[in-house]
Amino acid sequence: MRLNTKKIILISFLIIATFGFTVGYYMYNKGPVDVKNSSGIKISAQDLYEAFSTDSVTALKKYSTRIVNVRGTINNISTNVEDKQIVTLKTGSEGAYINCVIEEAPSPINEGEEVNIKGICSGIGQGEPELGIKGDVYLSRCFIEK
Amino acid sequence: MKKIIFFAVILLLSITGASAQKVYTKNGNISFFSTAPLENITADNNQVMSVLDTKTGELLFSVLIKGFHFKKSLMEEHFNENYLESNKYPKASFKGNVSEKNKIDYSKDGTHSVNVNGDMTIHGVTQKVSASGTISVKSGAVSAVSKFTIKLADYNIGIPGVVKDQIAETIDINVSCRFDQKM
Repeated sequence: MRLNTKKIILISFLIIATFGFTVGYYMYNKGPVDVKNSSGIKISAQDLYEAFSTDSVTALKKYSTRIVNVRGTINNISTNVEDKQIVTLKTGSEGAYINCVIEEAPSPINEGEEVNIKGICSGIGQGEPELGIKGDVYLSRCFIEK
Repeated sequence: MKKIIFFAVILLLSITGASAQKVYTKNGNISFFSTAPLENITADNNQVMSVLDTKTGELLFSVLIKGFHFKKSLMEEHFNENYLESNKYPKASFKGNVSEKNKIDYSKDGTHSVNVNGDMTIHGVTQKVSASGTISVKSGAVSAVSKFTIKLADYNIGIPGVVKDQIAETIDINVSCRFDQKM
């Protein structure tokens, strides 16, 4: 009887340890969040910019590090120094945009086109008010849907 | 006469464009690399705002901490919540000057080795930093790159004892910007 109890304890311990190790290993190696297959918080480019420019603290709590699905009109398409495609969406405020670092985009996309962009929101950049440079609201790991 | 005025205006516009006093980008890149016994840690951010005043040599950087992305989501979570405390300190910034500002002719193509000195603020702590780098001019477009090392302890970034051996005390930072807008 005592031997059986010891065996049960040992087997239980091994099962728990294996389970713990597997979960830990999975959590440690888990890749980035799957933006492409997430629905995200739906919002217009104008409303997202307005949320950050009027109350950035509340907007940060609501949107930062979350996936947002932003609808807006493409202002500009370019590439940065690392050859990452950058798409900016108009916000209704001249010089301030929803600034999206693109992971995948359908081809072709054109300036002036209305699109949905899904990405992870980082917050609003501080810009340089003394020079009249407004801060953009940044999204990364973005996917464009027409 | 009209032709002369036309060419004079074109010439004036091209000179003004080439020697615009301030150039900036909202999508520069900062990446960092940390060697650790268990595995190396890298992250990058393409949401770097930078302004270079080509006349005075003043150089500004500002970056959102939450814009750094890692290969593993747990690393990103720990970076934001435990180390950089990005809800409390959402931005890092640099304000400084290019030492060799008078040696650079921004109207001509060329590559120039420079030193930059200034104040860097990370995790709410401001430290004096000095870094070497390169400023390049090509067809009127200005680019800058720099690589330097910082000590985490200098910015009060504490590493918990459990993972102390897995995270290096210093990290290598690469900065790369193409200033695609002028004013």
